[in-house]
Amino acid sequence: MIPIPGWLIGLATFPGVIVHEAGHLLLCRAFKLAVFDVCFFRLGNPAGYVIHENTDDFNTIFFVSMGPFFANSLLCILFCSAAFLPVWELEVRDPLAWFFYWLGLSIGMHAFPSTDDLKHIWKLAPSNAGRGNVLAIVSFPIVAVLYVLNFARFFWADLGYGIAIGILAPLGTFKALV
Amino acid sequence: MLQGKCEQCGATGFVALFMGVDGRLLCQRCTEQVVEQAKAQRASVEIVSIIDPTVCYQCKTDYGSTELPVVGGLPFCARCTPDLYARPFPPWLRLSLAGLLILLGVALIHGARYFKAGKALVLGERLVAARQYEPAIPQLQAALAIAPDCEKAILLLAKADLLTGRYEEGHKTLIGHRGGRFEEGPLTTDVKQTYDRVANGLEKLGEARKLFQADKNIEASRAIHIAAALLPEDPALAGAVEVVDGAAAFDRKDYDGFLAIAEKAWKNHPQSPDFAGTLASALACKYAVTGDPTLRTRAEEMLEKGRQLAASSPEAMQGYKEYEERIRYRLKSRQIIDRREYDRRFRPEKSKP
Repeated sequence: MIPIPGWLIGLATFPGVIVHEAGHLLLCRAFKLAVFDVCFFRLGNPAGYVIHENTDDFNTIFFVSMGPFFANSLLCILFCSAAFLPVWELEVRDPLAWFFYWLGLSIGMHAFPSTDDLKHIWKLAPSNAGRGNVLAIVSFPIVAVLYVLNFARFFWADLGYGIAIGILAPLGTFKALV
Repeated sequence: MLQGKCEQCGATGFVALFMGVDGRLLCQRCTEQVVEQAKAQRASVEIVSIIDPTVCYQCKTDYGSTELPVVGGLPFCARCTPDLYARPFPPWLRLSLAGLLILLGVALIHGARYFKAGKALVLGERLVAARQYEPAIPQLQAALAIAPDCEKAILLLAKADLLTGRYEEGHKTLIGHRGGRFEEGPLTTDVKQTYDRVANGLEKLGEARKLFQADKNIEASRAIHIAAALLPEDPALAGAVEVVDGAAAFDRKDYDGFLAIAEKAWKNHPQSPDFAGTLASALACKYAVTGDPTLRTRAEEMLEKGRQLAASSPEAMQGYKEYEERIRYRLKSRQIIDRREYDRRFRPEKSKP
């Protein structure tokens, strides 16, 4: 393992942190949750945060916690889709394409929700699933995988996730279209 | 602001300045003592800050003894509460997010040309895999127009060029990229093998050409067969093999073999005045040997066909006239002599070196 300080990783991939926290804030506002404090980016751990009111409404907590995960993943796929062909397949020396690829990977790398967010969903999921909430049922495998991946961040799981969706998703889309 | 009493030393003060230590309300001094003791004993201690419900958590305004409504477990005054639900996006963030969306648009537009190149590369690769080299070439050229350093496209194009007889283009395509150096891989190995095979084939073909020009037709036939085996995809080579084989059979005086080859060549190239002439020549040879008049008639028919076919081009007509004269002599005299001998006897101006 290469020991790279967290602040350096945060600095190198700061757009992802900002997009993630902006997503949290947007969803807190959309679901009318009180926001007590926000940090969009800093050189520390965590690199950004949104401290918001908790709620027992599963759908609200699901979207507020998982929204940035889906938004970051989607943006990562879109940016990488535009850049993966020149970077990986066509061997083009195009700085703009590399810039878009970096932007996509940075955003994808910060897709994971925090462990606290996942814990909250995990706590509310069983009772809501029992009441037939489809979102709660669907959340079980997603949260379980993300929970494990969150711990695997030490092994660059977040970067691995960014690269995986930054290559596999565009590649799959491209193959399907051609 | 609420007053509190330390559960350890009994000191009183504002509750906001107290701490909750393992469930007890302690002043700051006692909290520090407990923490020091816990450190010494290597024990853990749970410390929580005490929130005064009469002081707004946001603006810190003291509302005396009036407890404020709680939002998320924290007291907020009526003035601050609405802000919690409408936390503004800083202008720089709004600008950044707008910029990000613009960048996304730019990225997608910028990537469209690469999508076209990537699509052309994939289609070209599929066509090469299906051995459809001709239609693969424009696809791969389109990919290289956008991505000129793409090794995969270069190698595939070179392969398609080599396997369609465009040897010069294939060679230029390969050499044009870093002097012909490529990253090792199955495709590189495959193209290198194809290139080496083609190079050997061309060398052998050159040898066959020299031998044929020197009227060493039997040796030329041997060499051109090796070249044809090395260059099976060359569409022009099959005709050349027939010409050389026919000449070799003539040299061996194997007129049956010569006729069989000439018949086959004529069947394969029914629009060629040269192959009409070759068949006429073979029939004339057989007539000269057997005296069978049907062979003479057929030879004359083939000469007439050759004349008709050559009429469209002055160059072809010139070739036709050259062989017509010799074949008519063969039919008339029933003497079989090759062109060199004929020129020596009747066309001395042509036999000069």
